[in-house]
Amino acid sequence: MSKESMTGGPAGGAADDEAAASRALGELAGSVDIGTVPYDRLLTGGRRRLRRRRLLTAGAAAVLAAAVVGGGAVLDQRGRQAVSSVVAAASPSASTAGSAPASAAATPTAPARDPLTPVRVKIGEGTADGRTWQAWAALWPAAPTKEDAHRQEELLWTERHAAIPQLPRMTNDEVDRHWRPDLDEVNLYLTVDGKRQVNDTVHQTPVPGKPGATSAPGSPFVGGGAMLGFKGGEMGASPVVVAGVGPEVAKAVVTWKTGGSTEAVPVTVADSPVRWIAIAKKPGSDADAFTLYAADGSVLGTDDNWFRS
Amino acid sequence: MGAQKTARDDEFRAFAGGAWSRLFRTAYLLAGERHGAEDLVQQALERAYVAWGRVRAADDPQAYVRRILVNEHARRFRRRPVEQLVHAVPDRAAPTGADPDDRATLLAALGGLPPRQRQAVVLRYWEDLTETQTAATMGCSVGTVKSQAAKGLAKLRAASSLSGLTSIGGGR
Repeated sequence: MSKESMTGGPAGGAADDEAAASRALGELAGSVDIGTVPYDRLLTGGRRRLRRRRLLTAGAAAVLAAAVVGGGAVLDQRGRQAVSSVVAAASPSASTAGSAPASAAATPTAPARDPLTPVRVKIGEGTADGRTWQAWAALWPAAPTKEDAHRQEELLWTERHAAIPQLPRMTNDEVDRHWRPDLDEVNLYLTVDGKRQVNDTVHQTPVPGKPGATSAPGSPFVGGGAMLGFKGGEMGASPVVVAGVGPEVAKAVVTWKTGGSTEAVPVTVADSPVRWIAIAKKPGSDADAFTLYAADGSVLGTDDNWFRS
Repeated sequence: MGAQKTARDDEFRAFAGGAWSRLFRTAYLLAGERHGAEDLVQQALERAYVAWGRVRAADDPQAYVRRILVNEHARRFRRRPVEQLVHAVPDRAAPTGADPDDRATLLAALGGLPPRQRQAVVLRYWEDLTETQTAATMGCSVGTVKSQAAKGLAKLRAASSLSGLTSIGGGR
């Protein structure tokens, strides 16, 4: 063990503090149950990331190749236009014919998904302590360009900042690094009696048809999740668990250790392959089981991580 | 190709099995709760799988993955800075005059630190890294590590309303 500052700091106090901190953190870290290593999940997740990266690399190469070919075509077309412009005075049709392919090549397909307009869907609601809560998912479609990503981040930050005054802005560099054209941004948040609460989360979920758009084999949970309602204790002993699930999930059922159960049907948000469920924790009770079912009633998976005190 | 994939998977499995425990405990101190820690380690190891060639070729593969984990933690915190997941639903305000031996008090105080200070404290005093190693892991200067760790330690002492860190965890 080598601690450079222990020898250089003020004698006694600082070194004692550092030694005490080491002891206390060691004890704290040692107290957590680390469970078993989820080899399958790690390998599945790693392979999925690898596939995505390879696909992106291939896609980038294809775009580059298309850009080179397209650029060549445009240059070639401009060359022809330069020639045809001489002809144009005499023959307008020649000019039109010459410019048509270039403009067709330059016109992008109109985007069906607007990265600057979120699709907002209520994914669950209920009452707790006489107050009405609603869980929401705002899906911001993947930004196709970095410029769009910056505009999107500005809008998303503005919206979140209205409810979270201390929310820092991402730097331009951070936005650049965070940007993924194959991932939507999903902002999960909670309202209580109509007022948006301060804690929320932002998840990245795959766009439709991309790798990872469906759940990993053996795991119907996709897109991550969050437990909302802690900040300020808005939801008291009944925080709301929001979890993303694959399209094959028809129903989620939580049975409680103190009896009873809660069911939720996954809610689709726009065209996203990830669906969302929202269930409030039963006050004073952990979950006995959190089970996801397919439409035919078969069990797709269970999770023992959520709803645990 | 298939054989390569199998070899990669086997190597990765062996590495993950050996590194999981330590990474998990570090992630627990950074994330402040078990599920967040599990998620953090999983993300870090998945990234390590993608970059396995570089990880296995590194002088210290575990340090390489630890750096991925710290970066992942920093990235997440930028995205969701205000949420702090905890094991138990808090039914009272944050403890102010709590028992110094209470691990929850320390965990809460740790969770109240800004992410860079938390990283510096965890890497220095739990991972037992030198200031130079900590700086390399955090991607900053040694001076930054010194100041962040010192501030973090001071805040831990103040925020947890403990008379001194010497009393945390049963120290004398």
